[in-house]
Amino acid sequence: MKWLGRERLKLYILFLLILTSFIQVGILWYYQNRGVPTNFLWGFFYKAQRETEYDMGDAFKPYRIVVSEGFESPHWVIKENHEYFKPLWNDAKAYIKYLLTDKNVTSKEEYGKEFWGDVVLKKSFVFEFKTCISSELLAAFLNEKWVSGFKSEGIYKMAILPSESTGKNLNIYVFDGDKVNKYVVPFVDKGLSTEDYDDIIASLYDENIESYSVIKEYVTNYVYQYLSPDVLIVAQGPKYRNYKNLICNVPEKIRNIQQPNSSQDLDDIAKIVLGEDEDDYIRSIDVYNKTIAFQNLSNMYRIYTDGLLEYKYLHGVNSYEKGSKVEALKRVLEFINHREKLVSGVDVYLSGIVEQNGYYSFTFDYKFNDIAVSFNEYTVNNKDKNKLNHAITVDANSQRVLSCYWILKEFKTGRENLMLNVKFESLFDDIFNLYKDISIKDFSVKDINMAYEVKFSTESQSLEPVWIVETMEGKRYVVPMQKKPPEV
Amino acid sequence: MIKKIVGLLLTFIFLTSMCMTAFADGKIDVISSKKTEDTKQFLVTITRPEGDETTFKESYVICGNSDKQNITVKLLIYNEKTDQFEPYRNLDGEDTWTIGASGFFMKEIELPKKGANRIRIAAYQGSAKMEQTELVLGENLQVNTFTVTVLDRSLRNSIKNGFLRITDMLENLFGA
Repeated sequence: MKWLGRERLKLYILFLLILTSFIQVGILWYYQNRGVPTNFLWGFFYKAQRETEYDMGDAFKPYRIVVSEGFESPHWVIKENHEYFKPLWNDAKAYIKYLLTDKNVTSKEEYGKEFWGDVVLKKSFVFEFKTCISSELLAAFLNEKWVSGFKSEGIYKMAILPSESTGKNLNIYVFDGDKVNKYVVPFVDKGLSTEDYDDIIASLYDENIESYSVIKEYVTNYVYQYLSPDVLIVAQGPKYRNYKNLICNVPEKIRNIQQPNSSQDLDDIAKIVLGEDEDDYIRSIDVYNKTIAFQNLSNMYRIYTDGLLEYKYLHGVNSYEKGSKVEALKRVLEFINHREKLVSGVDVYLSGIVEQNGYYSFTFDYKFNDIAVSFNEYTVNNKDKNKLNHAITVDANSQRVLSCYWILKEFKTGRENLMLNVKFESLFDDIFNLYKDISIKDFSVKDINMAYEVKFSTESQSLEPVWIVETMEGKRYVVPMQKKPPEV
Repeated sequence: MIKKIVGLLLTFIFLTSMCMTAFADGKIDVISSKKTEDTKQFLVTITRPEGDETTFKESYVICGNSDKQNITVKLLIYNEKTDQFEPYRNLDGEDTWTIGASGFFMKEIELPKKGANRIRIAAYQGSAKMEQTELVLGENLQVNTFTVTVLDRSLRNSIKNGFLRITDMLENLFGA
């Protein structure tokens, strides 16, 4: 009997140990993923729910759409709020689906990258991304499966040439950065017809839209190392065009943190940055440099007075968690989507993807009314003094975001009217006058864009447009635009 | 006495005509002469016009680039009345300019007439004020002449519509 009692006691102790070990596992899980010890169970459900919530397709947009009737004709950039943007982009997406699935593609031909210059000199509707979107990502964005018939590495730029059609087909050219592939496909059902495309061009002639030329029409590579043929330039028409300045501010709620009685603002920021997990974080404000910090054992967020949001995952990362680019981008888009309320007045676009050892790096940038907002060598105000070249720089693997630098700002149009010299000749001379170390023979141009350049500041800034010249080697040159001299 | 006066008058006319040659713009004679033959593009590569061209627009952009320093470019157009090339101003009001730091120029001009316009682009190493005596064709003076023909826009529409009619006709015939 006594023996039986001892055995029972042992059994109870064993049960207790098993129970406490489960709790211990739960606690450890909690440290990794936040929430009460049983939250790991809810985590599975939450994850399944989260994946169905966010549609990656929402983030899939071209950097710009350029329409032209061909050689010597104007090239127009179709803004996102223009009535033709949506129908053109819907058509383009339908054709990308054709290409990915190799459906109805009747003919394929491959050309060298120089051929892209010939394409943009024809009547064309060009869809440009800021980086090459791989076939894998295209398929994920469009919720399609891709087959090996799609010969391009991805799409950096794509041109629809309806006038090259024969009968019911049209030609699509895809430039992946290295080569150009031509695909002959039928017009999509209920999509734009040749006449519709012609009508769009005809109506653009009647609209008062800024027009450009492509560099290929005027400059050849005899002297310079390389000039991308489709760089948009102003060669004809008035020398000066009118632009507004842009007012850039640190988001109001972050500014207000510096004021007394700012606890409501801190709560609001915590809600946006941390979402449902806000209660799991310790909050603090550094009295010396006024940095807001939210931290738990796994994650650390810091918000600096200039609006920079810094995030770091504090645990080590296993390389097997790298996973696919699609999964990593999904994590990044969720991260951005939940916190996008902190910026206002701008659109966010994907500007770069780099595969690293064990994770992926993604960069995003802002556009204000279809003019780029640029960050060049923007200094992070911490001990690392990192330099940022993009509005958002995120490292992620298939499981989670690992780190992020996000320059949070609010933007609105200023009141100043600026008459600025847009002629390519002036810009090109200014680059060489400003940067004496550039050798003409080694100089290359990948792209030239007008942009508002944001500098490090904790105060309000008035930004004027500048030229951003990107070289093939990834260097960026910032060139101020010449102002019209006052009339005497 | 009359002989003396006539002699003095002739001497005066002769001397005046000598002076006029001396004061003439040094560059004009070589550069403006219809007979001057084209040189190789050894100072400036003219990228537009690329040979003789045809266009539907009166507004035209001439372009070129050079990897040499201190290059002056002069734009001229052929005048049938004077039978020579005369300086022609671009839309910025210049007929002569120096290539800047980029080694590149791009100038918009208004072609004066429908049909053939003979344009001459002269380039030389040195400042705009250089004297004729210092310029030697093919050595430090480059001259290139192009014909840019402006066609009527209606012709373009006719070609376009004609082509469309043919493709429509073929489509109806073969139901492509």
